[in-house]
Amino acid sequence: MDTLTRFELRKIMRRRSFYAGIIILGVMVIFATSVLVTGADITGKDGKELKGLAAIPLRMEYDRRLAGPLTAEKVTDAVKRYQKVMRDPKNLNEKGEITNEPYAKYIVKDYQITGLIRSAFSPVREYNYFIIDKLKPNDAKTFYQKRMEKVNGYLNYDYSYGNYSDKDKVFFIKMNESIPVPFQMDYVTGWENVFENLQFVFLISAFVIAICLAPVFAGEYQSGADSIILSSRYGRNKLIAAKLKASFIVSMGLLILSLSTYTLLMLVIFGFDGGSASVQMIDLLAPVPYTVLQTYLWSVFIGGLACLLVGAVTLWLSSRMRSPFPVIIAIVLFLIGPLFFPASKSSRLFNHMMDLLPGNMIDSFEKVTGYEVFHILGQLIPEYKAMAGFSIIVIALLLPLSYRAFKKHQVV
Amino acid sequence: MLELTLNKVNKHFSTKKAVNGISIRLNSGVYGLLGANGAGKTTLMRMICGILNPTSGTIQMNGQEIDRMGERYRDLLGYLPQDFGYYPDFSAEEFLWYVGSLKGLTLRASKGKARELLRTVALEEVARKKIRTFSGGMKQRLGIAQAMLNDPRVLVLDEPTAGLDPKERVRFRNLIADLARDKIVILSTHIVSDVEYIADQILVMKQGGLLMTGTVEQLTATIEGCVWSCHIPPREVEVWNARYCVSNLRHEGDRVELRIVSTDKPADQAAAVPPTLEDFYLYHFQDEPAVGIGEKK
Repeated sequence: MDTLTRFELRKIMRRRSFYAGIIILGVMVIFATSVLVTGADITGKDGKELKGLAAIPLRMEYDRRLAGPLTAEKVTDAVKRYQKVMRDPKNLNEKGEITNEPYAKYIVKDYQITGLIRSAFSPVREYNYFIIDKLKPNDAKTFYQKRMEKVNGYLNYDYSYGNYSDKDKVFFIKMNESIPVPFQMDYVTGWENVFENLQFVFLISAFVIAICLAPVFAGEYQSGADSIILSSRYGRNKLIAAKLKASFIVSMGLLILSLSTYTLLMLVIFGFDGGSASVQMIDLLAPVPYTVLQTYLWSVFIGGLACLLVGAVTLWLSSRMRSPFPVIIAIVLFLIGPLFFPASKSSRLFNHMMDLLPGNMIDSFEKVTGYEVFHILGQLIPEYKAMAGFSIIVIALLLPLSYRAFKKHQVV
Repeated sequence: MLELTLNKVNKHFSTKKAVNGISIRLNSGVYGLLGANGAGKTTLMRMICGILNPTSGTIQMNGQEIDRMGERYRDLLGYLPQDFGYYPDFSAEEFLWYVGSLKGLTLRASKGKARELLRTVALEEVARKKIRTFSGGMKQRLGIAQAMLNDPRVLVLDEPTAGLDPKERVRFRNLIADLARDKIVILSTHIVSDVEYIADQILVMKQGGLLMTGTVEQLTATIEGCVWSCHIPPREVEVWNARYCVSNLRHEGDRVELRIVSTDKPADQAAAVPPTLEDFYLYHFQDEPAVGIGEKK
């Protein structure tokens, strides 16, 4: 690393805003984790409710039992087990509802697989809890077929904001057909919880990146150091490159810090299992042929790019505004504003455009596992890949603009 | 041989003409910029440093436009801006290493030069202290040091003596005198006596234009016969103050000696005295904001 980049890094990292950002990140990551830990619950073997950390090992134990391929036999057995319990009058109360003891003993154990069955056999855009009661053991063999029917139903649904075109439908059907079957089951609660608050962690990371990068150029204008910098030999070339490099390093550092802390904390608490399970264990209709770990990596890639995009916009604004404060205000509006903007009821294109804003892009798990496709130059590109391309292009455009704005800055 | 040429340089801010058609040729030597607040000194210095583009006109170094020279010109330049920013979390030596790197010095060279300059500006003992703990004068000395890091051929100093105590000012004047050989040094100061001591040539600016240039003797000669000394009773001081531009007032027993700048002889008993640069300033800027003599803007 060259000397100027080291100095620029030092400048960013010695500001109070940097320390404040690290503290905000730490507190928010702990908050995001603790909310899910305290929210964990399961009915224990004795019928008593287990909450928080106590609930985790039992869920893990139950889900691990069924780890492996989700075969038709496994589905059939689960349906049989469920119906056997539900059809035994000893297990029911006067109202016909299952009593606590058999629920704890049998039903809770199969919670993951019965959830998948309910999801596959429920009508489109519905989750019918009681559908499993009506299934015949033979129906279980059609699990994957039913799932595909549901995908078809989803694609052929009449949406107020625009329906899928025939090309779109073919595209998503093909994507779904590329998913290896049978799906791989495993205990995935750790990863599921990682995905749960990933958007929040990205949002906070993007905010902290913006706080740290806002003074990179604007701070020089505000303090008056721009006079010395711009009149010095390397002030209009190497220094700007060093500022951009240092900003990238800091952004990456903050992202790695927040994501690794959050992911490790969550997985240490909830368990590392499930990385090689199919992502359909978390979202049955997800059209991507990825494992949970691959989906995590894609989500991190998309969310990370969204944060870097926020960093690039921050630098650009910083190069054009005279003080870091309005830069932070503008970035907060830019980042959080789209979250309050309702999706259009009439235009899918508008929704696609809105999705390209970092505030929406950081909901990366939803984007990777969603059914949105962009039509670009006759090609159909899944939304999450279009987002990646868009971010890279915009970052590549904004950095030279920031470079130029500082280089051409006039000290008035 | 250095030659910095300004050719019909203008700078307009919307309707205001901050610098108005300045043409001058500067060779090695110390040039003092003198003018009231808003006369255009800082704007002119910024344009010379290339951090503000002229609206029209050219600035050339040895025949080449400074804008086109880019890095080569900036390599020749040392600049102390007025009220410039420091990085409060940097120590004095770190700040100089940073500026040294900006100026193209290796870190090793920066460290050596920083040590030498910190000694020169008497900040050696606080070299490792954070700049946030420095007084205004200490910051100003650090600013002077950073301007000299690359041994510049063109040194532009905007209010370099602001915040310095009299001893520091003397030290600074000697430093400049020492450095000025084979360099173009352009400085503005609100303390007329500093310009008087340091500058070989004085550039007098008024309302964006160059009013006059010359040595102290040449400038003061232009108001020869316009500075008077007279003695009056103390009770008349207010009347005289209101009527004339009084550059000095001194009580002598039961009389008061007034020094008056006026084209007309103020009284029969008034005697013409040799003018100083301060008198010259008052003569030309008596209607302007009084920052040119002893007060900071």
